[in-house]
Amino acid sequence: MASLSKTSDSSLQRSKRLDQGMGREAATASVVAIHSKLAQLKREIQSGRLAYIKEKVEANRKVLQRHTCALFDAAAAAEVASRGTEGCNVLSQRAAEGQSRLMGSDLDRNGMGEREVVYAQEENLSAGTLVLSSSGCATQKTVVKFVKLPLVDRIPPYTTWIFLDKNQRMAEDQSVFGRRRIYYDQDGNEALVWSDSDDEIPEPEEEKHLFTEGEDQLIWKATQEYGLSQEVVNILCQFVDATPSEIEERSKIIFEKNEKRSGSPDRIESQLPLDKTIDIVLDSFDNLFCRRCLIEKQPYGFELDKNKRPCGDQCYLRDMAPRTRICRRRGRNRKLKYTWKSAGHPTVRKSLGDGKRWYTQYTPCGCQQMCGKDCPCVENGTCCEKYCGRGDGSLGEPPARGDGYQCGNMKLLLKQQQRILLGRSDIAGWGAFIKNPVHKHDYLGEYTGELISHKEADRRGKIYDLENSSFLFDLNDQYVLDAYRKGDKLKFANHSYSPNCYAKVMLVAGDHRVGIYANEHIEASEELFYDYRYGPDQTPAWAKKLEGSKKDVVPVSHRRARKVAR
Amino acid sequence: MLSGSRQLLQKRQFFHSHRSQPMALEQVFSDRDSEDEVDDDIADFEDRRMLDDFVDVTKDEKQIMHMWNSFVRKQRVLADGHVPWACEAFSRLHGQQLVQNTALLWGWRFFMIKLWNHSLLDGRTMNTCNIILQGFQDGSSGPK
Repeated sequence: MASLSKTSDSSLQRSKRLDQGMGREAATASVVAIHSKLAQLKREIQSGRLAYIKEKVEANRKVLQRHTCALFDAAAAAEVASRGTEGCNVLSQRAAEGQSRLMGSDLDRNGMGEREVVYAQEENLSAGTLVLSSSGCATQKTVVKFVKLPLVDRIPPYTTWIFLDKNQRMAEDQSVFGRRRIYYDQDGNEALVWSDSDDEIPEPEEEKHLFTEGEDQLIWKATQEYGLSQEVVNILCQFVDATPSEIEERSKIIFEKNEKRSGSPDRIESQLPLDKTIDIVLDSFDNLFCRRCLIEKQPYGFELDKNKRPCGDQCYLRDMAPRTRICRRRGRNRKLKYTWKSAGHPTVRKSLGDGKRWYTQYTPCGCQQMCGKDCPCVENGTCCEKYCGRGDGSLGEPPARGDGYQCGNMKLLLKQQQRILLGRSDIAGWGAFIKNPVHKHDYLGEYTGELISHKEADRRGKIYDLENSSFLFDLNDQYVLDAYRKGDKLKFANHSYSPNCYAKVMLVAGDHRVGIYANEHIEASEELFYDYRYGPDQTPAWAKKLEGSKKDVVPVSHRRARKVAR
Repeated sequence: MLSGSRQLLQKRQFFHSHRSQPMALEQVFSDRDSEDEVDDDIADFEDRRMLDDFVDVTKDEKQIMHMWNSFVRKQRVLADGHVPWACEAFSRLHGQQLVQNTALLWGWRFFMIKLWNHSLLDGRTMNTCNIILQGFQDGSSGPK
């Protein structure tokens, strides 16, 4: 038995070996075949592309010719029209006239004879004149008076910015991480690239190969004829500058694409969602609708789901007196409360009168009528967006700005702000000025800007400090406002230790926003100042209190470190 | 404006905050502040770009979202109480366009349902909106 099996085994093995041998040969033969086939294909594709390019260039040339001819003809016609009676160009004619006027018409009078015309210039700075004289048969003098250009003061450095009427979260591609930043060095009078030893510029990602049409064709044809084996992929690597895995992926994508194309062409892309349940249909809307802003947008981030309930004894809500001051305590994750509805919660339908069921610290006022003095929101200092007194719903239009709507909580929401003007600061650089006189505690406006993380703010702050101009404003544990690129005119308000305004972080419909208020009665056209409240270790040099000086208004163009409201 | 204020404002040169060009006196005096306006074109563009990023939303859904976002921004729909008015006005404003595209129309209807879920829209107003839309539909399918 054993011997039999051995022989059968060995014969099996032999035949296997033979097969393998043949297989290998066949394999190498096919590799060569594939290779040559692909090379041929590549040539075909390239020549095809060449022909296409030639066609395109020719077509473009014709179009271009049409355009330029039209322009050329127009110009030529205009020139002909403008030629004077002498048939020469009006411009050169006038130029010649001007010159001859200056130099007198001796030239003509003298005829073709010798022309010894001497031209002299005599500057008389005190009289502000320049005398041009020429000698000839009749000396002529022309007195040209200097015109004094008025001296204009240079304006302070100005960087263009975008107006935001409300804080805007920074988009991912706006971050300074991984970007080379250039700043202007006043001392060396040059622009420099900012670099830092502990700079973490991330390594540029391995470039993903973008497949051209020609390469797609190549891959498609190859895989159609020879399948998607490792060999084919390896050979393709030689033709297409991509990794084997990329090629494999790509071939799958191409495969799917072709499948789809061969599918029913008259399938309607956007089917009427009548056959789905309402939940599925509303799914898109659900995920993107922001309940507070009433628009479809990217929600603030899903980490907020965790913080929907008062998180315990130490929660913000409990130990904070009903004020909206944001205390800076370390080590606590004081996330904002949001009324953001997550996908997990059932949609809540309750009539307006009940007040809605909020899950977090914010309790809306249950005011039935206008929010008056006894509205709990007023006590808490929060702004409710429940628009009081709108029971009947029969509006002509939402109340326009400044219509005198009196709900004290609504100023920030409705943007009922004062007119601010930009001017040269009496102290340094630009300043913000108020147009109309205001009383103490009047709301002047909101300091808007980009919402950035603290990490991002630290990074941006480094350059801002170098330039001695920072628009960073600490908002809360999560965000910092940066008004450098986007914001409003209040960003120009300067710092002072005895200011006429103050900044206050307000909680408006779940958002932290910075309001600027008058600290005293302010006259029209006065410059606005508020205390930036730098921490002792953050105070830039210009803001440090001068020894023995009573007046603490210090020179500042813009801020360093971050401003904070108390 | 008080004459005292006028006098004070005349003493100083003010500048346009977007162009840093000197501002003429009558612009200083006027109540309108042309610089405190969001650039609509940019806002529209950014809105479209943001919506385009979503992969699981259909083209028509994105379109209705963009139309609504744009509407809310321009009409200053800021508070819950504005929403019924807003829906009505939106239906009137875009009615023609909505009835011409079934998917878009349904998108709007579903969005109204969503608002109703949130108690932002009452049944009566939703009915009114549908009547408005019906009107457009009848109007357009009139004698051709």
